[in-house]
Amino acid sequence: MAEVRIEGLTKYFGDTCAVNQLNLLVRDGDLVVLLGPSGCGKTTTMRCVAGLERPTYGDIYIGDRRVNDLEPRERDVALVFQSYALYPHFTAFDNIAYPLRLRKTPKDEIERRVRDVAEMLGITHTLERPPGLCSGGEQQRIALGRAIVREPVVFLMDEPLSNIDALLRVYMRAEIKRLQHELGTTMIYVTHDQVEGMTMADQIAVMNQGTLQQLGTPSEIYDLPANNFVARFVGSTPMNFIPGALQKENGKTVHKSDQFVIPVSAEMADRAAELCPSGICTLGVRPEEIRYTMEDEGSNQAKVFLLEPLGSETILDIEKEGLLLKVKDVASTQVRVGDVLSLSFNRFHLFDDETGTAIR
Amino acid sequence: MTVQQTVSPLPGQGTDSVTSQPPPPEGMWSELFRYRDNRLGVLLIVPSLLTLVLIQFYPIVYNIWLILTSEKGEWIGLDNLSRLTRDTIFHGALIFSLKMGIVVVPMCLLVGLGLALLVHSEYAGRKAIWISILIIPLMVSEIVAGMMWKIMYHPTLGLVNVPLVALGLEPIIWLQKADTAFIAICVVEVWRISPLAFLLLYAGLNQVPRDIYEAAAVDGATRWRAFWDMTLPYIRPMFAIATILVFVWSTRTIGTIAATTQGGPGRATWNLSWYIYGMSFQRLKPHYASAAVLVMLLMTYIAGTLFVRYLWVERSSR
Repeated sequence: MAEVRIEGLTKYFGDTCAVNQLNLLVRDGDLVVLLGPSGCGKTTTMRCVAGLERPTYGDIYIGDRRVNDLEPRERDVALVFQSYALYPHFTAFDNIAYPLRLRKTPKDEIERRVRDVAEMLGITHTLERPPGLCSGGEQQRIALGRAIVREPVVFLMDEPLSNIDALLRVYMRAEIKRLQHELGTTMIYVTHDQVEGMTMADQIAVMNQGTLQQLGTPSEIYDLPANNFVARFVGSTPMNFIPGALQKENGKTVHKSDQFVIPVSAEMADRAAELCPSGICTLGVRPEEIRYTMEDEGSNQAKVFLLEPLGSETILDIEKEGLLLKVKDVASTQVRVGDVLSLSFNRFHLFDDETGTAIR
Repeated sequence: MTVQQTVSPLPGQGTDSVTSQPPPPEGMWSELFRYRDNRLGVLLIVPSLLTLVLIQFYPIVYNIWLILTSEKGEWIGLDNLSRLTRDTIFHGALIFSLKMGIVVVPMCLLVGLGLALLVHSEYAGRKAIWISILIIPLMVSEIVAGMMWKIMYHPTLGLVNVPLVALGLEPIIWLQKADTAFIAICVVEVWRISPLAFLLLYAGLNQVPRDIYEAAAVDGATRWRAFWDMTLPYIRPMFAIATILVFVWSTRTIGTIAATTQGGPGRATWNLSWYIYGMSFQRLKPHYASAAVLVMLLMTYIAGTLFVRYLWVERSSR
């Protein structure tokens, strides 16, 4: 077990900067998810930790050891690849046993540990087969088994669930989290799937274009996004954005856009005056934070043009003068297409248009 | 390992088998002719199939006919073959061919593998240039290669002796002594054939997925260990193919011998091809030579089967 410390990590591929000045502390026993769109540098970061890439600048520590100059095999980390990277000419048993064989573990101990891990992962029946004859889910678990069997100090997972079907993915992500908790091993988990990130992580590091956007617990990331990128990226129904500006009306500050006039609390108005003097900012509101009534009250009225029933809930697609909003409603909603709703905005965020950072 | 909880198999995962399957087809032919499209398809491949049968099997059958008859056309049964068993010149040629195979095959594979690894490595730069340079020997005809090397082996003018002379040693008269002539011919063959092994093994190396090397590196394998555990098993089928082809090429060579030693000194460098050529066209005993052809064919066939048997282990599909 060990913490992983990344200090000022920068990685160039030719002229392209894949990771830029990344600082990250993964505490001992934590599961940290590196979350971001493809090309954001999350996989490169992980490969630097694994030793498969050399950092251009910066240092990586595992425990107390600076590992920059160590070969992958000397770092005592286990990596589960997106492609699984199973050895196709070995059986599942030999795949899992391989790291132990390289460490010259006695034969009977290899046998015992491989069978233990296989039982834990429910793949005992595949052990004599080559990976090519196993299903995607089984291959995935063989890859997991190969990582677990070594009892490494750090687990690295590179989108391990992206190649399996949706149902199994939901199951496996809970499984991985449970395993990590029980083994107590530090884990860095790379994914572009924000649901995966939210459900699994102790801490999420959101990355974009090689830089760290925000590090925090899933609820911090969701409730207090540091900037509009994080706000946009996290949330299964994305946040609604309403461009506009802050103005005074009757002594009170409001966020005024072409479509809506939304009152802003005095506290927030003060912060905005300090942080965003121009007042030009975008209001972001999550779909579940928009309330509506069917009564004809207030000026914030808009028309429903589509219903998206999801079974457990319904998404109302609302349109006003070219602006689309998504509103979360109960499954048994009475709203019908064409209804005009009066909207109120419960909790929202303001993002400085110039910098994108949250005003708070 | 502390965790012992078991995961129950998921629905649709693991050992669930399909319960209802369509009945197996009755046989290839009935299946083939079931559909109009297939009938047309069969019709279209018949000409090439016939050509193939003619050019593959007719010569073999004709060859056997030749063996069973004398040069005068009389039926002599297995006489030609039994004569062959007593023919010491033939024995010498057979042994020479086998010896060449034993020396040339591993050398070609080693050189080919070395070159393939070099070109495949990240340090090789423009790979296409290396490949086009390295396969030049493949494009040179046997006779031309033989002539070229004959000049290189020349006792006074040849390039091969230059370093020996420079070191103050006696120049070696390569092609005029039995053992040096054998070495000299093997060198020519290795030069000529190893590019073939290189090409095949290079193609094999390119099939090895990069990520399994990375997985092996993280799992704790050194580069050397990864080479043994990942690369070699992966390119094993290519190795089998390369071994067979190199064996066939090196044992049947005739141009190299014709251009360098002409079978000399004495009959020291007679191989099977040279023997068959000599019997057929110089001593004009094509029927007797056909018996040697059959032996050569069998030798190649047996060797090929052994190589496939012991080298070709089918890689499981990914």
